[in-house]
This record gives sequence, C-alpha cells and structure tokens, in this order.
Amino acid sequence: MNCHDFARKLETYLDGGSELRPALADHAGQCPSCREQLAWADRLLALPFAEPVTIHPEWTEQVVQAVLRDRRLRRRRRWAMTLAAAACLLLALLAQPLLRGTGQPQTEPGPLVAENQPSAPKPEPPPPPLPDLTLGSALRFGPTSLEATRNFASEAARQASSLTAAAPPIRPAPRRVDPVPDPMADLGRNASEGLEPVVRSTRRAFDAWLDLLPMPTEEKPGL
Amino acid sequence: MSADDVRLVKRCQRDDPEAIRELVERYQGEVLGLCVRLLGDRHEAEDVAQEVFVRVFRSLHRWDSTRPLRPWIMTIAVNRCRTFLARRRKRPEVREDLGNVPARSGGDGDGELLREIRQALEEVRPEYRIAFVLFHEQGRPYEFIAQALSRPVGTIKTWMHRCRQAVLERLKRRGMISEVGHELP
Repeated sequence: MNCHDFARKLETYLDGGSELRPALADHAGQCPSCREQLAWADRLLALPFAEPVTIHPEWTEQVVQAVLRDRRLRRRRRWAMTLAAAACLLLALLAQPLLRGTGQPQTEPGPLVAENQPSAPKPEPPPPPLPDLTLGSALRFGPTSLEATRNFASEAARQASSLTAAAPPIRPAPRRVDPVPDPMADLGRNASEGLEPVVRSTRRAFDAWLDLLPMPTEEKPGL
Repeated sequence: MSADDVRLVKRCQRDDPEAIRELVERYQGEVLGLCVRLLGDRHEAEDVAQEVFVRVFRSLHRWDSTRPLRPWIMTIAVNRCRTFLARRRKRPEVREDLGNVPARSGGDGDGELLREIRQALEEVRPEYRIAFVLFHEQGRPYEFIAQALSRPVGTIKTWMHRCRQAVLERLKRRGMISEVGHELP
C-alpha cells in the first residue's frame, strides 16, 4: 500500500470500514505522515459525541402544551373555514331572488310583430330601486322572498298550462308584414295643401290693393 | 416499524393528551440532542425542537404506518435544523463560543478537540455540518442522511469528505494535530 492508497482507504475507514484498520496500521508503521493521519482518524472515531442532553420536565410540558395549542388552533381554523364557506353559500342562495329584482313592475308582453314595426322612441323607464343587499335584510326577507317566488312560479306554471290548453293553435306568422303608415310622416305635405287656397286668395287681394294706389309722377331733372 | 408506535400515533390522532405526552417523551431526547448538536446553542435548539414536535403532530396523518416512525421524526428534525441554519447564515451575528454545548467529561484533550471540531463545523456549509453530525455524532448511516437531506448517497459522501478536510485544516492551523504530509483524498 502506498500513501495514495492509504489516503483513499482512510476515508473508507472513517465511513465505517473498520476491517481496514490492520492494513492501514501496517502502512502507518512505515510512514510518519500517514501515522499522524491514522491517529487523527482514530481520535475522531473515538470522540464521545453522542452525549445525551439533559431534558428538563418543564420543557417537555411546554412542548406538549404547544402541540395541544396548535391542534386546537388548527381545529378552530378548520371550523371557521367551514362556517365561512357555508355562510357564503347561504348568502348566495338568499341573495339570489333579491338580485333577480322581484320588486320590479311586471310589464305587459308586447305584440308578436312588434319587433318588425318601426315604433316611436319610448320614454326611458325609471331605474328600479336597488335591492337591499345587506346580510340582515337577506336573512329578514329571504324566507319571505323565497316563498313568494315559489308561489308565483307555481301559479305562473298553472296559468301557462291552462292557457296553452285553451288557446287556438298558433299559426305561423306571415313572412312579410306591411308596415303601418306613420301619421306624422305626411304632416307637412297635408298642411301645405290645406293652406294653399288661403294663400292664393291673400295674394290676389294684395295685388288688387296695389292696383288702386296712385302711380307716382316722374319729375324731369332741370337742365 | 413498531406496533406500539402505530397504536400511539392513532391515539395521538384522537387528540389524547396522554398519548401526545408519551410520544414527546419517547423521542424528545433524540430530537433535542440532534438540535443541540446541529445548532450549537441550547436555547435555539429547544425552540427548534419544540417546532419539530409541533410539525410532527401537524403532519402525523401523512406518516406511512408501514415505515418506522423514528427516521421520519428525525428527518423532520434535520429539515427544521437545516432551515434554521440557512436562516441564521443569512443574518450573520456575533455568537458566543459553544460553551453551552456539553463537553465530554473525559480527558482534557478530548474535550478540547471536541470544542475545536465544533468550532470548525460552525464555519462549514450547513449541509456539511448536518452530514457530519448525523454520521459521527448520531451514528446515522449514509442512506438515512441521504434521505433526510434529499440528496444521493454519493453527494453525502462528498460532503463528508470536504467537511472532514475542513475540520482537519482547522485542527492543523490551531496546532491540535501536527502537520501531515498527505491530505485526505
């Protein structure tokens, strides 16, 4: 074994290869430098590192209390998260009828052909009142709104079914619908035609009055 | 894997305070010992060891009951210490000598050598230090260290070699061992 082999095997010895000790010692007996290294390795391996640490009972108690506190906290946090999720879900369910605007006035359905007719601009309807979206109002009016919505829906369904049964079968709409004449469109022309005789008579009377007037005499300028 | 450990863990999961106390008492010596060796400060070690137990109980449901409990707990302890060492390394501060680490009650030479080695370990990378402490002081095999540090065994052996060289260099500088002609491979 040369010094290079010794250094390589010394590492293995330090890693737990105690069976290499005799061979290492053989070489170390001939080489002072390697002997120093083997001595250092032996000391390192023999060092009593793993001395047990003293543990105070207070520290143990402190650890146990910290663990229990952490578990309580996490359990409480889990509950809070679950409750928050449930509250969000409930709030969404309760606020749904309010957000749909159940308080808006019902509008009559327009004629089926209304979309084909040019119509006059309608005045803007007043904006619907904003629903009260607070949790208190949702909780206060939520059950009532839900009940009213449910009643309205069932009544509407009942009426729809009876109307459907009584109504004649719907015929398909004509492909082309004549537009309804706009009463304001010919207003100007009708007015001018109606006023024409009056205008003509007035012009004739004015001409006659002009004829009655004396004609002015022309004066010759003096030389 | 110990059936006793499995029963104890199940009781802990039912929030049995006595079971929690029993588990802490069963492993506190090893955990605190490792923390003291790795961190070199008793107070810091106690804080980190407490955090280790909190995390152990927090993730007890993730423990694979077909595998032994002890290495799992020690892995958590190693990782907490590693995080702490990395954090401490980022904020360098004047620390006292490792006088509060219990020294060997044996001969003066051993005690002095131990102190020098621990001082040398303070100056190396935390990973080297952890590997050294786990191997030489805690007697853990390379496979355990590799698993705890999430590195291949070959990397751990390289770290160990470099760490020993760093320790040896310091000991030579301090005159603890005579200058040798060859270095470790």
